[in-house]
Amino acid sequence: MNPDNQTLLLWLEDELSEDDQLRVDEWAADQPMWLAKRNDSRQWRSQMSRIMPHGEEVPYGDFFQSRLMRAIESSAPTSLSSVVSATDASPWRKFWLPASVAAAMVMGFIGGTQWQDKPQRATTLVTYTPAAGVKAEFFESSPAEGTVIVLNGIAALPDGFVSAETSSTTNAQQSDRDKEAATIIAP
Amino acid sequence: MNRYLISFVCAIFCSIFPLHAERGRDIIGTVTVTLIHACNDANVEGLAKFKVLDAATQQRLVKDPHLKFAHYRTLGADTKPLFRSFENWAQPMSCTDDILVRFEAQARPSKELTRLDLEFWLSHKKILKTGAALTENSPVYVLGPEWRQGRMILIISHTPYQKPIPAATQ
Repeated sequence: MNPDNQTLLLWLEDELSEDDQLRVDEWAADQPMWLAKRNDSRQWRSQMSRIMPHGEEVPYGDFFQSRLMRAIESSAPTSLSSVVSATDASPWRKFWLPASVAAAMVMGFIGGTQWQDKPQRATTLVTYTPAAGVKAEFFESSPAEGTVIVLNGIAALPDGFVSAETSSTTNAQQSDRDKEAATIIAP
Repeated sequence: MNRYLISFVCAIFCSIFPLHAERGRDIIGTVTVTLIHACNDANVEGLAKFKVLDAATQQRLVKDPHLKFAHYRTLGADTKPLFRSFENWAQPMSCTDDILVRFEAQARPSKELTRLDLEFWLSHKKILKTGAALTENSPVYVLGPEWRQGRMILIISHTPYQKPIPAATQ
């Protein structure tokens, strides 16, 4: 009986069971071509086994995991206990944690809207005077019912800085300007 | 799928952004900048033609030690719209641009209070920059430079609108 191709391939690799091996050997006794092929295959395997080094097996299956666990336990013994305690948390804690987060979010939202709607008058005023020698002071003036900013260090303006003749703020012209402005911007 | 997503994002962006840009020009109130001259000498040359400051404002100024003078005259006033998120300039003396006030709303104004970015420019130079909180009846007074035996005082007041005027209706 002629062996099939799969059996022949296993026979070439010497991977057959003992009974099958004997049976195929009987068939191959008068098949010099297949015998030569098996010899070539055996020689190839022996050469490769000499060239390639043998693989070293890891001493333990969980070698790396065990070393990591030892390192963690030695460096931070409390972290492991905290993890254990978290897993053993009571149902009350599981309930209060999301509830407290939700309450904080609601309070933050309400606080933000309150801040947007009702800003408070600042007790401090940030002033910036880029000109050299000029300084600004501010006062919350209750008599004047407003904020007073006093600028010191500005050079006095020359008398001709504003000409009375060309100014638009004489009595008659000022009233005209007021009327015009009111017309333009009235809601 | 990605093509649909990009088109959707572009459509949302194009529909929102022009709307936002338009809303920035909504008028949320007015800012009035009044420039006055304060001095203790009644006969200062060149001031006779300027209008005397109204009595109510004079009473408020006199009560504050920093602003207390004997005589006040209005050199000029300018009322300009306050935009929701755009800057604007007031030029209290129309004859000269040497005195300018730049203002801009800092945040969404409330009914009680409006925060403004204020800048005082003198002779094309920025002299003061500040952020002030104004209410309708609480102006900001800036005691400015000396001029003609007295001091210039800027009064910056704000009148909020109950309902902003949309930019489209201006």
